[in-house]
Parts: sequence; structure tokens; C-alpha cells
Amino acid sequence: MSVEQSIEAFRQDYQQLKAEIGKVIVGHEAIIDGTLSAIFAGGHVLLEGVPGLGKTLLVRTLSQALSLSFSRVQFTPDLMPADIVGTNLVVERSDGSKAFEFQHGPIFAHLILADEINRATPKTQSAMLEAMQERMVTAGGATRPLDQPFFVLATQNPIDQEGTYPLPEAQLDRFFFKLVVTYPTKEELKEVIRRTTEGFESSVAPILDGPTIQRYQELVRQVPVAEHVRDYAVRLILATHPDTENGAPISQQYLRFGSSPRGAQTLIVAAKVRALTDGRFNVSFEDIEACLLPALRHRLILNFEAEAEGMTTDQVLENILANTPREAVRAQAAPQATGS
Amino acid sequence: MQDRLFIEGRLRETARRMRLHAVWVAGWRAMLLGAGLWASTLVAYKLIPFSSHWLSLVAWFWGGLIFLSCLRRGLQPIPLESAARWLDRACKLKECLASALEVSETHRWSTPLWRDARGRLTGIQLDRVMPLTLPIQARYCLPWLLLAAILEWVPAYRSQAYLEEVADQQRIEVAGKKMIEFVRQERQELPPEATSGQESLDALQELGEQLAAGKLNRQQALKEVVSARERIEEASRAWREDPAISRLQQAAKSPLGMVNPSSSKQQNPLESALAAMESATDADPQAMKQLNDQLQSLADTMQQASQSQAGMDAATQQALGDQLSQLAEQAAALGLSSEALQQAMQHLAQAQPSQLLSDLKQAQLDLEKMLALSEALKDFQAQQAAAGQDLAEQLQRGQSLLAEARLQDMIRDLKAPTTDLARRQSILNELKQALQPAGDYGEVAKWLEKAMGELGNGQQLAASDSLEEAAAALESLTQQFEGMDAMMASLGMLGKAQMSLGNQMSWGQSSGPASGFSNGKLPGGGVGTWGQEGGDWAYRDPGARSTDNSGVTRPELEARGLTDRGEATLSEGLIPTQVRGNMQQGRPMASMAIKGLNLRGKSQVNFTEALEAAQSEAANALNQDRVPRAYQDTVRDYFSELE
Repeated sequence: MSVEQSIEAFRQDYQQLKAEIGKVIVGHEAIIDGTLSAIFAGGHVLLEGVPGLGKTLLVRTLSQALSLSFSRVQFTPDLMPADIVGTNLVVERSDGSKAFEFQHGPIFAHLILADEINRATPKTQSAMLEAMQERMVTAGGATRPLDQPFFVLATQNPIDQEGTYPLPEAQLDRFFFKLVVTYPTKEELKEVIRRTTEGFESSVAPILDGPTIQRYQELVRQVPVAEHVRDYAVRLILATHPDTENGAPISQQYLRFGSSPRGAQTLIVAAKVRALTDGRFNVSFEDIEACLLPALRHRLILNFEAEAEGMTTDQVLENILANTPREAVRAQAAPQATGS
Repeated sequence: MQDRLFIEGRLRETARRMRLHAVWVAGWRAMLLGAGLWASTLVAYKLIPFSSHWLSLVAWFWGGLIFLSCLRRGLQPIPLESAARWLDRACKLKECLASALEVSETHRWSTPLWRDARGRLTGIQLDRVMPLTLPIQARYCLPWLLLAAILEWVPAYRSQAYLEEVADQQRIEVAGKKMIEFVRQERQELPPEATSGQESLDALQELGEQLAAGKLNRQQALKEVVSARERIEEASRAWREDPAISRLQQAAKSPLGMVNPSSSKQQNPLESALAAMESATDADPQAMKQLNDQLQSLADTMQQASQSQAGMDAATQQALGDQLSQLAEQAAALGLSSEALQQAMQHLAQAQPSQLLSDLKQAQLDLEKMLALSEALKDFQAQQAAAGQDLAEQLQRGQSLLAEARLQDMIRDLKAPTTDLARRQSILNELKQALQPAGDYGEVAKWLEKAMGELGNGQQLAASDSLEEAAAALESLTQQFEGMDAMMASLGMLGKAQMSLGNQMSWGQSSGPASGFSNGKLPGGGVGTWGQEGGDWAYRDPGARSTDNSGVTRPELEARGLTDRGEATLSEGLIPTQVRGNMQQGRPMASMAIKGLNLRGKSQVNFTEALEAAQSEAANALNQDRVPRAYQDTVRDYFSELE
């Protein structure tokens, strides 16, 4: 299959996927796009939103559409790492002998929904996050790879702060995107009510499968990025670093730490996905700008002043975006274009 | 690959257009900057007096700025990457072209990328995407240009003091240049040995250069001029007190001027030429003029008669014949050739009026030539009469040139081995007589006395050497006298400069002291009580001698004797009118008392000298055409009749 054909196939599958998910999930297009972008980029997503917004339904629908195995883990304070990765159990064989047998935990699925991940203890969180990073688990003295493709969609409740263990920055950094799930609009809510209270049932047909997803993941990596676009992404990342010569003034004022290089990688890969979904063969400035907030909002650490003033990372990133020119050195006396 | 080539071609085209656009904008930007600077400078110039050279400088800077800006932009190549990025931005291609340009041929996505880029490029029209319209700088440029255009019509404000200062500076520079030019012309004629004149010219040159440099203000320039004038006057006073110079001056003031020994040599050929003409040297010029007038009258009568339709009748012919014979007798009585008149009578008898007229004209021409030759010879004879006969007389009369020639003759004779005793004795006697008048000539007397002693002792050669020294000393004095002329002219130039700068007049308006020799001690030109301050020597009008009009042809000023221009007629404004007065007895006439100069006391001026000076001035005035033509004869006659 040629590149154009591959791209066209991807675009069509993507649109189809969205349409299929749209049969079940009303609205949340940005969340769906972000989630799918993360999936095709091979990353994990942190969904933040109040309860009842359809986060779990989204993940479930996604697993159906992608023909991927799905497991849901409800994180509670008493959840143990073994509850996630699995443990060795003594089992009786048919011959009556007893032996240890590893019982796979819920993590051994393609698509994991880690509900309220911030309610589990750091130890349990680390077991989960290790699996996310390494794509393997070590349990019972043995290292067991996880099935590919492997995605974790974690959720956390922004309003329930009591009895929670906020994810440390190092572990937040492992999430590809952090998507904020907002309330549905009026029309969306009406549609939700109609579908859920009027016996509306919809089935989601599988669109893609694991190997196809992996193939698409490889395709995404091949999208070329022009040098000045790459430079733009780098300058955006560097602008988030306080106490450096490239740091933006707002970063100097409100940030304690800026984005890591992983943020730059995320930005580029996510932009590539977006370019492909748009049917283009290259990454543009708009792709970078569209992916900036979900890619970096969870990677910046605000300082006390920002918290005191109620400044959010989204505000910081929007300011950086507005004040960072797309090209570092424009051509001298470049003519004002009148458009084609 | 073709897609790539197409993309690169279009990008090159875009780069060219971008460069053109950059040049366009750069030019307008420079135009704006220059217009602002020009208008600002113009405003400043209208209010503050500074040299207009700054305006020229700013104008040149403006032009140069536009040129260099355009050149700089034009020489800056625009890389294809920049063109690609610009086109992506302008046409919202989402970095398609830039990515296509960067991707290598081996990249798996190169082909679709290039194809996609080509497809997007195909529909793009560069002249619409990048039209060459007036940039925003042009809009801002317009008010400045308008302001500058309006200011061109606004007169500059300059204070009266500044204007005067500028005018003074110009006068100073003009005076300096005039001095330099004057010195240059004077040096062409003045011999280097005339130190008196050379030193004054050096001082004038130095002053002229100082003034022409334009670094002095009016006060300083006046001070320098006055200082130079005082120095030269001091020097001239010292020279004028020299008795030798006084003698030479006396000789120069005579109507015949400095008698040149060469003129005496011309006498013999002229005399012999005139002797060949039958006793024409003795003809009375007045009678010759009268005869000429009668001939003219006869020719006019003849002309009228021949032109009348009736022709010439017998009575007229007879009358003309009688007049002709009478004129021929008069010519014969004057000793003039009457051949032309005889021929005229023959042609009259043969009724050939044209030939008759021709003969009459020829007779007039002959008569005028004779008149001119007669007057020239009389001049020569007068010179010869005025020249001293020996060395003593020549020294007495200040005729240094003749005295030098006389000494040279003596030297030649003394050096010749064949000179006899009689000649040596006559030389000795002549030297004795010349000793006393030579006392006024500095070292000349000393050398003459030495020569006398040596000649008395029979040392001819030594005596000739001493006479050579005497001749050299005399020549030196003559040269210094010539230098005095230059010195006086320098003073005249300084006086004119002083008047120009002191009275703030232009050079042409300011006139120096009157030219020519005059006596007396009161200011003003002329003679008697109107004499020139400073003694005998008057300032020569600077530039009068330096005018060389030898190559100028002015047919309207040809001598009357050669062409017939008819009677001079006065213009109507000059014709005096006579009004019949109405005298009524008993009624007083209008009168006005005018104070005149007090002419009491004995005259301090010698009449003869005053007369000579007046005649000389009149001659100069006539020669320089300062007398109206209709009055020239009257003036000439008046002054020539004075005794």
C-alpha cells in the first residue's frame, strides 16, 4: 500500500471511529480526538472531570470500536499493587498437587481504565505507572510483558481532594495527554437524556484492531516535520522553563518547573497524528498549537504565587502561545500577502 | 522528481518577486526617511541661516540612501526556504512547501509530499498573492513631500544683520579675487628688477589671497586693507622723495611722455618718405582740413546732381568745373598732389559722373592720408625737439632712456680701438657737463666721475666699464620708476577695495581715485584746487592699463577718415532748446545763491604744467571715448588751441 493510500485509509478509519464512538458518546469531540490521538501516538491519557460525564463509557466504547480487550480498575485507598498487576496464587492441579500460578491482574488488557487513580496509594500508583512506562510488569519474580497495543486511560476527580494522593510530577509526566472533561452543552445534555432515558440502545461496531492500530502508530511516526516547525515546538517548550534565557516572562513569574523533553516528544507526535487525521503529509504550526495544552498542562509545576493568584497551567500556556512567534527570524521586508 | 523541480522553479520565481518587493519597500522606506530629513532640514534652513551646501548634502544623502537601500535589498538573495515559508504563510498551505523542500529524495514520503505541494502551487498566482502596491511608507511619505514642496515657496527668514554679513563676505571675496587678477596682469608687464613695484604687488597678492579665502569679517578685512595701503604709501613716499624719480616723473608728465630712443630712429625713413611727397611736411593741417571739407561738399553736390532725373545741365557742369579747378589750385598752393583733381576735371568734361565721383573720393583719401602723415611727423619732430641733445640735457630733462642710449654710444666708442683723441675729448667734456645733473641719479654720478678720472688718465676700457655701471644704475632707476606705476596702481586697487568694503558698495560701484597726473593737495581729480591728495602722483585706475582690446573689432568706431559715416547727429534729447525769455522790467529774476570754493591766494600750480595735464586728460578722455561723439571735435579743438 502506498503512503497516500495508507494515509487515506487512516483518515477514513479515524473518521469512522469517531462516528462510531459518536453513536454512544454525545459531544466531547475534543476528548475523543485527544484520546484517539494518544492511542495512535502510543501514549496514555489522563482524563480529569467531575463524575458522571461519561469517562468510563467513553473508554468502554473505545475498546469496542478498537476491538481491544478492556479492563476497569477502580482505585481506592486500599487497593494494592497486586490487585492491579496480579499475584501468585496457590492452585490445585488436576492431579491434586498444589502449585503457585500467576493470576494476571486487570492490567493485562489492551485498554485499561484506571478510575480515580489519585485515590490509590503511591505504592499502588507506582505499580500502575511502571506498567505504563515499561509496558511490562514484574510480579512473582518474573517480568511479564503486556499485550500490545497497551493504553491506560486514567481518571481523576478534580473536586474530591480529601483522601486522595495526587500523582507526583514525575508520574504525571508519563501521561501523553491530560484531557479535561467538561460539562456537556445544553443540546448535548438533551441528547444524552434522550438516549439514556428513552431505551435508546446503540451498538458499536469494531472499526480497527490491534495490529491495525500498531500499523497506524508506525505510520504516524513517519510524518515529516519541517525544521522551522520543529523549532517552533522547541521554543514553546523552552518558554515554559523559568530562570532560563528562553523562558517566557509568565514562566518566570508563575512556574516552578517547566516541561521535560518528554513534553516536546509528545507535542511533535501528537501534531503528526493531527496532520494525518487532516489528510496532510506534513506537520503545521496549527497542529503544534492545537496539541500544546493537552500535551503540557500536566507537565508544568506552578509556584506558590500562581496558586495564590489562582493561575492555571492552561492560562500560562495560552500566554506563552500568544507571545511566541511562529518563526524566530522572519525574512527581511517580507511582503504582506494578500492571499491566493 | 519533476514535481520537485517544478516546486523549486516556482519557489525561485517567488524568491525573485520577493526580492523585487523588498527593493520596492526599501526604496519607499528610504524615501520616507529622506523626505522627513529633507523637510526638517528645509524648515531649519528657512529659520536658521546656514550654508545652502547642507541642503545639497541632504539631497544627495537622500538620493544615495534610496539608491543604496534598493541596492542592498536587491543584492540580498532570498533562499528558497524563505520563499517556501512565506508562500506557506501567505496562502495558508500549512507548511506544505517548506516540508516538501526539506524532505530528501530517499524519504518514503517525498513523492506524496511533492505531489501535494505541486498541486497546491499550481493554483497560486504570484502577482495576486504579492502585488506591487504602494506600501504604507508611501502613505506617510506624502505629507513630508507636500510640506517640502510648500516650503520651497516660503522665503527664508534672514535677519538684516545676516544679510549684511553675507553681502560683506561676498564683497570681501570679490575684492580679493580682483586683487589677485590685477597682480597677475601687472606682473606680466612689470620687469622683475622693479623691486618697488614687485614688493607692492607681493603685498597686494598676499592681501588678495587672504580676502579671497573668505575667512575675514568686514572689520578685519578693512583693517588689513588699510594696513596694506599704509605700508605701500610709506614705501611710495620714500621713492617719491628720490630726486632721480622726480626727474623721471617730470619727463613722463610731459605730453610727449618718456622719449624713446627708438622713435628717433624712425624719423629718417619717415622723413624720406614724406620728402618724396612734394613738400607735404610743411602743409598747414587746418588748411588741409578745409580743403577736405570742400571736396566733400563738392562730392555731395555731384552726387545729388547725378541722381536727379534731369541730369547735369551745362550750367551746373560749368560751376562744378570751376570749383574743381579752384580746389586744384588750393591743393597746389598747399604743396599737395592734385593728380586726382585733374582727372576729376577730365571726367567732368567727358560727362562721366561716376568716374568724377570716384576721383573726388580718391582725392579726399589722398588728402586724409597726407593729413595723418603730417600730424605723425609733427609729433616725431616735436619729440625730437624735446629730446636732449647731450647727456647733460637728457639727464636734466629726466630722459633716462635717451641718456642710457647715449651712454651706450660712449661705451661703444671707448671700447673701439679706432676712436680718436677728439672723440675721447668730446666724451670727456660731455661727462663733465653731465656730472652736475647726474647728482640726482644716485650712483650714476659716482660712476660718471670715476669714468671721467679714468678717461682723463687714458684708461679707456676702465672708463667704459665705469660707464657701463652708470648705465646699469640708470636702467635700475628707470625700472624702479616703472615699478612706481605699479605701486600707484596697487594703491588705487586698495583704495577701491577700501571704498567697496567701507561703504558696503559693490566693486563696480566703487571707484578709485581719478586717473592721470594731477597737481595740488586737495582731494578730487583735476587740476589746480581740485588736485589729488598726496602730491603729484595720482592713482592710476586699476585695470585701465590691463585692458587689451586689440582683438576687438568695433566697426561703428572706425576712424572717420577711412569710412564715410555722414555727419554725426545729436539725439533729440541732447539738442539744446532755446526758449524765448520774457523779460519784464522791474520784476526780479529767480536767483539762488550757491557757495563756491574760496580761490584766494597765489596759485600753487605752474600754469604750464596744469595746461599740459589738462591737455593730457582731454586726450585720454577722447581716446577712451568718454566724450560724446558730437562733441569730440569741439573738445579736441578747444584743448589744442589752449596756449
